[in-house]
Amino acid sequence: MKEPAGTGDGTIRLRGVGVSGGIAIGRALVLEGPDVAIFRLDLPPGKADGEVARFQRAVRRAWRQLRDLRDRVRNEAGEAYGRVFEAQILILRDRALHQETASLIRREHVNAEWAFHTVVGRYTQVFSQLGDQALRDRGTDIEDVEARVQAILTGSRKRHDLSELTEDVIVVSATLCPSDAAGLNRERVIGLAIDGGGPTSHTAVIASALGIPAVAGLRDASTRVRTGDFLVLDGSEGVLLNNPGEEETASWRDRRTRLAQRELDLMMLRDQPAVTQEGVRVRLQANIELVEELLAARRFGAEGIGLYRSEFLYVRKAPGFPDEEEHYRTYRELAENALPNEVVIRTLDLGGERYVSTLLERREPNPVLGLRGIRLCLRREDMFRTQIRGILRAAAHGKVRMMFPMISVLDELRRARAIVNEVKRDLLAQRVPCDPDVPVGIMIEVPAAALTADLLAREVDFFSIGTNDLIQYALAIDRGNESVAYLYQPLHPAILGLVRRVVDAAERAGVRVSVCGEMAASPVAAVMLAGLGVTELSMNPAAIPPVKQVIRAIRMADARALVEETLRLDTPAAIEALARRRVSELVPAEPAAALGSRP
Amino acid sequence: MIQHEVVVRNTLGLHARAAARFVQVASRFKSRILLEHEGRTADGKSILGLLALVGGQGARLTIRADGSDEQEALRSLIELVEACFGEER
Repeated sequence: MKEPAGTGDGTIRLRGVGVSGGIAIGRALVLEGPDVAIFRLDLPPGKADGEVARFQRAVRRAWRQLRDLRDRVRNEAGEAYGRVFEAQILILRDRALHQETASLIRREHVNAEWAFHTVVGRYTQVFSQLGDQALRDRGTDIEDVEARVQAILTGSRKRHDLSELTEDVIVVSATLCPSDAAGLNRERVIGLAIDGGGPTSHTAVIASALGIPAVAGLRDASTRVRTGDFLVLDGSEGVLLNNPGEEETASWRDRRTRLAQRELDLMMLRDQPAVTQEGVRVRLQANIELVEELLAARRFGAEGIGLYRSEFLYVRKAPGFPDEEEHYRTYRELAENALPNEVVIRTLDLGGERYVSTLLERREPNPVLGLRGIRLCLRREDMFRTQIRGILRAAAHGKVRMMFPMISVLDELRRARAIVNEVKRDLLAQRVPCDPDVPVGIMIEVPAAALTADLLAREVDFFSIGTNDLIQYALAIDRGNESVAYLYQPLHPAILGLVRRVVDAAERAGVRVSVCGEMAASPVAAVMLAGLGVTELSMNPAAIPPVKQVIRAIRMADARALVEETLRLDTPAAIEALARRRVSELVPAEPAAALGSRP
Repeated sequence: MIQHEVVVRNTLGLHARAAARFVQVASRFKSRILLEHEGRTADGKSILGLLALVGGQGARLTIRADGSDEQEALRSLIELVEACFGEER
């Protein structure tokens, strides 16, 4: 089908907030406001009961529609999104609404439409007068419910039935109710442009879950665009163009094609398991910092969260600390939404380059070697205990593991575990629900820890090798320092030797071992790690597909042979050159894409 | 009848999803549940009533429960509000 195009005359450029990523190019469909006029009609005598019954039938039908909508969204986007409709379902079942409407019909002998509209109005007017957007948003759910019931009562189709469009459109609207968004026909509605709202609105949440590009907060877009106008919408950048010229449109088309190709590749790979040719399973997980990133992790096919960095919780609360409830709620949300997969929560790792003055007694001359990670936590035990309580409580709601950063000596691990045990005892004594059996592990990022991994392995449930810091500390270079950054070499024989040592110690002790540094995100290094015996890799979500591609193309035996071969080489450059060559031989399809260091 | 005061702590206040959770929990009990905010009272099993109370962040609400299972009901509802309705930060 030929796509529409613009003339470029008087192009209008509007900026809003990108609430659902992707690019849409097409014709506008501007939605008008509710066009069902509601009249007051007097009922003939003796018809009130029948009118009440008609109202009740309409409510029941609306309720069934909403329930189906909820189930559909739940299936397509997940449990949490379905919950958006719970409020509307409860509104429909609200006794007050039924009783007040029924009594108004009987008392004043008026039609159901009018009575219902009047009753709903009593509630919505409270909200419309509020200054606060979040409070005003409460009214939308009620209005949405009313529109649905009125449409059934009047027998008219909904003011805009977005499930029955016959051509591709970008929907432009002053507001869009959550149920409108969920009812969108994804084949036809290719984009959404909304005057109001922001990234927290239900509509934004639904659009992003359904993968429809959307821009909100466009103020007066619905009055500046007319149905049939030619639009370009960028849901990542929050841009809406009305009538862009040919040349500009062509470059947007290119961008869209590239995005679509990437998306397609992702989708194809996402549901494929990360197994080598001979069937060895490699667990690929995501490193994240925000609960919201779970969506990306899922989209890229992560099997759980191998590293959740809890620092953001603290940074956001600075100069104060997050309280137990904040820890608990955040981790619980993570744990619940990650199911059936696990989440590894790393306890606070501030200090070093992430310098937060309020936590430290004084400025440190050399923060990377200073009071950071577990050292800081053991100094500020009160703060540490609060976090541990939050983790243990949240663990009752999913599969949670806990991990300490920057362990350099066994005493630190023992002290930290003792604190965990004390917190556990307190929680059990207070009968606070928690999971007392949360597996406890440590980051291996200090060379001393790697060298004594056999001692540490006896007292942990798992290791996670943090290669970023391990490389920095082992090679004595600061990556941020341009003069020495060239020495940051993940495939340095020293690093490979340290990793091997940790893997061997873990295997002997029977504990899990993973790598969660950037090294895991490089397809070439990932093959080397697999050859060294690491079958769990955690990385930024977008890095998962290319790594998975390589894992699926190799045999474990080849990876091990490659590692053996590199052991005979003496420089990092030679090792890297050989590894690249071998991996490109093993991965015939699109070696360039697969070997790119990071996407 | 027993009662207890709670403070709404989640940033969006007693918004739609939070109110929905409240009604769902309240409806599990036989007791009559009332919610009071700044002199106005709402039926704790009616989402519209709850939404109209407009309890934003920091609002102090009094929960009243009256009936055979009032203890259990009040305890569950207090827990729910204190856990910020189980979902919001």
